Amino acid sequence: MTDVITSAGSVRVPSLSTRTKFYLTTGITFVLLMSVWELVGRLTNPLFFAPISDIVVELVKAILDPRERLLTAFLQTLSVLVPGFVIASVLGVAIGILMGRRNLAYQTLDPYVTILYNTPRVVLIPIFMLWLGTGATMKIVVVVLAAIFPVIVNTMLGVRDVSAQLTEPARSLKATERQLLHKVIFPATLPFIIAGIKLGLGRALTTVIVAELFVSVSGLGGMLHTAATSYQTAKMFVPAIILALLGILIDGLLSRLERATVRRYGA
Amino acid sequence: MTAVPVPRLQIENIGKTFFKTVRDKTIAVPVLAHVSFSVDPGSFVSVIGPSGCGKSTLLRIIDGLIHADEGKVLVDGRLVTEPGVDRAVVFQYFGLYPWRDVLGNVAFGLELQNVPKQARTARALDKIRLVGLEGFEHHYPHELSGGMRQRVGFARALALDPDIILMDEPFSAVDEQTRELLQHELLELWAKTGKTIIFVTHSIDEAVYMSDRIIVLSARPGRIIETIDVELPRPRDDRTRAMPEFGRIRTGAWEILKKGIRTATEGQVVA
Repeated sequence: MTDVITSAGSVRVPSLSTRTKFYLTTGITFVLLMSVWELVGRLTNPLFFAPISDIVVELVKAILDPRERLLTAFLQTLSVLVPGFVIASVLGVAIGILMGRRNLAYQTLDPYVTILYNTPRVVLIPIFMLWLGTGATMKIVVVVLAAIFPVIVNTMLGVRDVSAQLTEPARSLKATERQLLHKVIFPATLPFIIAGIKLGLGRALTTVIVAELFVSVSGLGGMLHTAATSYQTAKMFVPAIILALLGILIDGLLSRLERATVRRYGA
Repeated sequence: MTAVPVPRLQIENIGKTFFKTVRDKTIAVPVLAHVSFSVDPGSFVSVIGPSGCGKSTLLRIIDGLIHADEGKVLVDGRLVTEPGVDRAVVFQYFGLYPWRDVLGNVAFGLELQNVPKQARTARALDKIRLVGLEGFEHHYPHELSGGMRQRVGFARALALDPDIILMDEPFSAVDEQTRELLQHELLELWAKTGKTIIFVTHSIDEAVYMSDRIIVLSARPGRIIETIDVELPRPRDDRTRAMPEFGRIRTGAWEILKKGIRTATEGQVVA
């Protein structure tokens, strides 16, 4: 205790709120990092690296100039990502609950879930290209396969983790199986489900881009491909930044959902 | 009510064996054997016995959560096959839902029976008031003390207006002072509502203080070794514990219980 008082007294830092300190630290770090980036960019062969100022110029240009077709590319990517991610989440939760509640479903499906969960998604792309062609359907299927397994596994583990202390009172109050699922199992499993969906999101994002690079030059992956093959190094960073922002946005929304539900658990 | 003396609850020759697997061997553990007793409407009956004697299992069989291997349970002469709204359980672990506030927890049973929202809210609020939790309707379980949580559990049981309330060591997870307070409150509520209460406890003191009758089970497999009628005057309060009669009954119960503890059957390998 005395140590803390002495050191605080000797340093005499005007007390800042935690929030201010946080913004100050991130701000300073960010400015430093960008300066280093700029400096290294200016000193390196532009073929291998680009200063941040050039990247910002490219980004602004891509956003403002319709000829850059950024919006088209972005929407193309979203048209694969959104349906794939939504299908993976909904289907994953359904399969996960089934596997968590029914031993037969668990025993039948678990080996395949384990195998597919651990198969690199990239190897699936040529196979599905063969079956489904190179259109949006094939890409959506690959995204679903990439994102669904963490959702299934997390949901299943969550359901199996629901203790008798939560199911027994409901059974005693004459809950039907449907009510039990809806009013006990699902809310109890929600933190696991959201964690699984977040893992799935990262895999979905990666897979969309890989599919676009691999298969047809389309979407943000296609932009990346075009920039890379024409040695426009600064432009290569544009889809990367857009994707990073998209990822942060969706993750942020999921975190809000998580807080709105999980906070009540008082954990 | 005319003079046909149908007991509220009849337990007839209940037997139950659990099977557990230890190192690839299936072991049969008999937990209850030949348990029979009956309970009059509105009475307060405690079940005591050494730990593992099957008293919680017995309570779950009465509720219909667990099926007995032998014997039957009758409520007002009707055979019990599954949980029903004529019986409600108050659990040792409270059994509240952390994502529901007090009101949501108390109304849960009514919600499951599809009682319309307005009606179930009104009934839940009434029970919340009855157990003295007014003002805490919108608190979540983690914001409440153990004693308050168990009041919520009790209000939830009362909300369905059951005839029988089954209590599974309801006060063993709260501190000593709260426990005595809750015991007193429960007796008052019992007197007010006229419910039949089956009360499982491992505390002899609690059983004597609360009950009209105490059923003493032996160690596993639990069978009834004695039924003690407690004829202490009601209403009971702190002075009850100071009565010589209270001490006499408690000592007697302890002597009986000691005999039953001696040897618990450890179960036998069946496969």
